[in-house]
Amino acid sequence: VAVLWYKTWCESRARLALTATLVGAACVLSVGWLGAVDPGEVQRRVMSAAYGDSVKSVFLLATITLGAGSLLQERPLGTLGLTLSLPVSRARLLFTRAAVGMAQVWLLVLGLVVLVALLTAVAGHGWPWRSSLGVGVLWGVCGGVFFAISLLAASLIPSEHLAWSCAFFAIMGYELAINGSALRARPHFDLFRLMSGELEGTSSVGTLPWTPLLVIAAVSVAMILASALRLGRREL
Amino acid sequence: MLWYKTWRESRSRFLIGALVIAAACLVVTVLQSWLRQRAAAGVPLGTGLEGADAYRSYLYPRVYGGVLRAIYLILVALLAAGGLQREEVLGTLGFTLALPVRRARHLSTRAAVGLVEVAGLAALPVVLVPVGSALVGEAYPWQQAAGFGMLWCGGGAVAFGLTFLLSTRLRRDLDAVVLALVALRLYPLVLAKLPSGDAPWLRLSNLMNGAGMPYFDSDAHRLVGPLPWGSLGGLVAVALVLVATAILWPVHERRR
Repeated sequence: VAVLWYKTWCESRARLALTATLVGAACVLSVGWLGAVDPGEVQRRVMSAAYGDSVKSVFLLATITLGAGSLLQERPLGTLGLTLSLPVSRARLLFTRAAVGMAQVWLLVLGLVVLVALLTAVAGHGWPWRSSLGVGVLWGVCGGVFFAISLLAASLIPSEHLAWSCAFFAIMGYELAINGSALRARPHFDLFRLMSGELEGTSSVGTLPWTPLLVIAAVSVAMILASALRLGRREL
Repeated sequence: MLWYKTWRESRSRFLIGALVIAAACLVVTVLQSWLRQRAAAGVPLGTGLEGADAYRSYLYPRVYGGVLRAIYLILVALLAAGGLQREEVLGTLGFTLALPVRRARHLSTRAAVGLVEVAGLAALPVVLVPVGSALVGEAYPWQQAAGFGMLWCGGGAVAFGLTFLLSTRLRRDLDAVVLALVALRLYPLVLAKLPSGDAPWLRLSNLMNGAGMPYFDSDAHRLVGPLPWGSLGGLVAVALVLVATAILWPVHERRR
């Protein structure tokens, strides 16, 4: 069992290093040069810089890249035979892949939270850890669903590019549909707004919106189960 | 034969990209009445404007200013992915290298086919936006669409060149796509730290959508005056430098 986890980690660690570097660079560029900030404005300025559109879009690209790749993409690489010859079920392979990937998403978020706290502390702004962790939970849960969508796409579509693109456009399409329909009045459905911590009851210093977060986490789990079901039945 | 091989390898990505852009153009134009009603409920687009001005104000942020332009750049980056590094992973490198053609020739053919495809994707809104608008009784001048099409072509060539260069250096071409897209996203942040970084002509997004440029009227959301040949020339020059670096920087010749 440990070997399977180690194999999955080895397969994905280069991607984690790449995506962590990119998210870190986005964060440093956004927060590193905030300049003089009025003490009363620190919360708003740091939120809009560190967790604004630029870092958010890089984080989205990072999470769907972490989710790219499943058994289907191993065929062109020539490693499918080895993987299938391991004495574990396909579902087990996928669940390990999903668990390692989810851990990597949370690692990315943790790195981001620590980096924001360090950068703001170095700049003397004193960004409170508790608030940062609250935003981290929002990003971790939403990042988890982005990862699950990408993993599901990779379990349905053999082409790595096409699966990645489908996952990205599915998320963008969902956001456009939410904002172009009556659901716009219900901002908890909008993942990007949820990540911004702008919603009522989602203040970065207040309580977290646990109900939407639990629903999103349940959707992520359902997608991972659907991926396992699909791979289990598919002719490889 | 090499051209045909390159086209066959990239045509599915090109056709899917063309479908996405065509569908988006038609949705934005044909469903404009419904979408404008929705927008009017929350986003004050075209407030105080009437007729053609209001329609341009509706169309610009959806097609040229934001969403569709971002989709176009992502599709272009995907078109640039591939190459000998990827073939090594896929196991087809032996066949390709057995062809009596230099590696630089492989790359230049792929770049040429890719750039033609980039232009093809940019040309779709030039045709479909005016046609789709006409179908629902609105008018969008083809000269405007052609102007934006040229700017997209230039900006797309830069995005293609960057991804193309990265895809010849990285083993996993999806990593090259992601790296290029993130670089394009973070480039304005880097510029903002520089002394003259707020100049719009340094920003790819501004060059493509015209925002803040002298050739764009931001109140009427339309291109004014002659085509910005200087900006276009600059974009094409940057793209060619990136592609030439990928071809002439002899990583492939040295690698086994």
